[in-house]
Amino acid sequence: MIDTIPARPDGRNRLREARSSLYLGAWSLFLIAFAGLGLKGGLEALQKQPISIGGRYATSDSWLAALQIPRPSKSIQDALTQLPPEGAILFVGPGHEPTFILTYYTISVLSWPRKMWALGCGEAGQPPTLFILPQEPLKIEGVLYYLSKPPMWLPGGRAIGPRVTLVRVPETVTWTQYCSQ
Amino acid sequence: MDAILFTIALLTLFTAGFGAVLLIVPRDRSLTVIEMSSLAIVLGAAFVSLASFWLGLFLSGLILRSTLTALCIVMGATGIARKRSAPSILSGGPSGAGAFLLMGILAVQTGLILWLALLLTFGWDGLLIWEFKARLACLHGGVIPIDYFRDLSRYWTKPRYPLFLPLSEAWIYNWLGRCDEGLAKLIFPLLYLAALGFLYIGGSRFGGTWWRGFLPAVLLFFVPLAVVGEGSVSSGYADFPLAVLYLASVIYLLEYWETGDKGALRILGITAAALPWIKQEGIILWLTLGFLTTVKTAQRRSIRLVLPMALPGILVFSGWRVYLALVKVKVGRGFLPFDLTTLWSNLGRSTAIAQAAVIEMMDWKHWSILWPAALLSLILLLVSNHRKDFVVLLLAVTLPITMYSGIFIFSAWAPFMDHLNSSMPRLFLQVSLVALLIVGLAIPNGRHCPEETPST
Repeated sequence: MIDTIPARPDGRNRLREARSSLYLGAWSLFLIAFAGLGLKGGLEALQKQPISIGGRYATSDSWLAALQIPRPSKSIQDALTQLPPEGAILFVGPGHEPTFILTYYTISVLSWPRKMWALGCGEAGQPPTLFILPQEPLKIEGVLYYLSKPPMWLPGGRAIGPRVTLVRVPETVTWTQYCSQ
Repeated sequence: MDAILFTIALLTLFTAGFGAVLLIVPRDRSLTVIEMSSLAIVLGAAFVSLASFWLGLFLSGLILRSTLTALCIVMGATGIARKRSAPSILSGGPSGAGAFLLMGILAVQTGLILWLALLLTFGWDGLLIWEFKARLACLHGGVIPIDYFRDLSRYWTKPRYPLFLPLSEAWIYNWLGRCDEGLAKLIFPLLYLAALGFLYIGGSRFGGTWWRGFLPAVLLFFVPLAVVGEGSVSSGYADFPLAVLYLASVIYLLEYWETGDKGALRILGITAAALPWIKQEGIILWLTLGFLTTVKTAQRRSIRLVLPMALPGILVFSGWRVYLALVKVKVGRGFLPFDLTTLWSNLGRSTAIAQAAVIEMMDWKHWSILWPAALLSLILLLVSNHRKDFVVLLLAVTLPITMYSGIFIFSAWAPFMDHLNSSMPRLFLQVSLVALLIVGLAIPNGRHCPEETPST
């Protein structure tokens, strides 16, 4: 759209040619700056990105690496098959733990059609710091403990890995009772 | 076997897209392979996802897949039958050593985008909002079950978000016979290719030379947020696809603005209709395009021409809203009521929002120097007597940005700046390809870049 002046053989238009060259030079510098800064910004951003491990669970396996089990997505899905599809699950763990919410979200995605709620427990004696809970009473079939141990009153569960345990629940109690104190 | 099934899924999508292009484009209009392919990618995905959704109300499983495949083939065949009477539909593309060199650079860049798509995981929303819906459709014979829309334990997956991306991914899943987070990401390099195509078409068509088409396409790779990070092509978010469709729509709007060609208006109507089907914010982009179209048609005293532009979008948007109302989906609480009381009480946020918008645009780690360059380019367009283009391009960028920024006045988050900081870069990404086109149009044509009339 910005048309440059066509070159003419006589010397009278040298000034205009010089302006045109200057203009092109400025644009070349602009392009170099654009590409240089863009490349630098892109490379910096790339270093912060999680790397996919590939396959059908390329992302969820990467995000569930915190569980420290091989093929975590498949392992979780397999473990949850012992619960009825219409049953609800409660995901319990330390609410202050940075990986808590992403681990909950990822397992929730994998656990469909089971409804999955979350309870991020506070420090001992403190109220929960994070929760996604139903507004009305709801029977749950199992509790998935992440980075925490089930309370003594619950029956022993099945360890899916060193950091996560699935416990079948005989009856539903108030939510905060599921936090191990 | 996976490769074959994946290819079939993509081929059927392209077939539908090609058919749609051939049916929409007027017979007397010539298209290059680049324009045709770019349109076919985005319209194919739009067609497959929309048809999956509506057919899915009545069919599922193998019957749904067979019916949709047949529809794609019929669409392609009907388009080809129409093309027979229009021999110029596939005219040539750019040629010459310079063009081939830039094409080589673009090929390398696209290869890197493909590699990044395979190397990196989805971003949060890419998996938890978009791929999750594709997974649901995959597990339920291509249909997202109504139970999902009422599942309060998963309201954070944004059930109200539209289904362009999830049902396009689900189309691949359904052909593979399983969900596959790795393969789903391969859709995005195709959208990147479409973006390159549209940048080339826009730049060369309105700039008058292939040079102005190729440079913005090459520069796209150097916009960091378009390539890596939340919203980018490698993240699996809907923002990049939305940006591609918006760019396409602006190009046809610009053409209509310049020439008054009704064919351009028809293509604009279809590409714009896909915007609210990609993401909720798409309606803001659609309204921007609708406003600019209305202004021009009113100027030309042919206001009735707004209808063919607006009707497809109205049908897509209202159809989805009616469905959401019927399934009684839970309304999120991200925003306060959009009324004058909220506006008045939160007006004090305006200064902070404006400051944040400027700071974001100057963040070279997200944009390189895209926004300052776009501003400078707009000034150059203005002084170079291309005021028609200037007005459209200026408004196509500033109107959505103003509305996007203004929406944070109604944010229910506390503090609202958290909402703004997490969303604003992605919102700006949606119009960034148009900003890149502006930069391309202002690039001068040097002595070593002879003026050629591209056959776009």
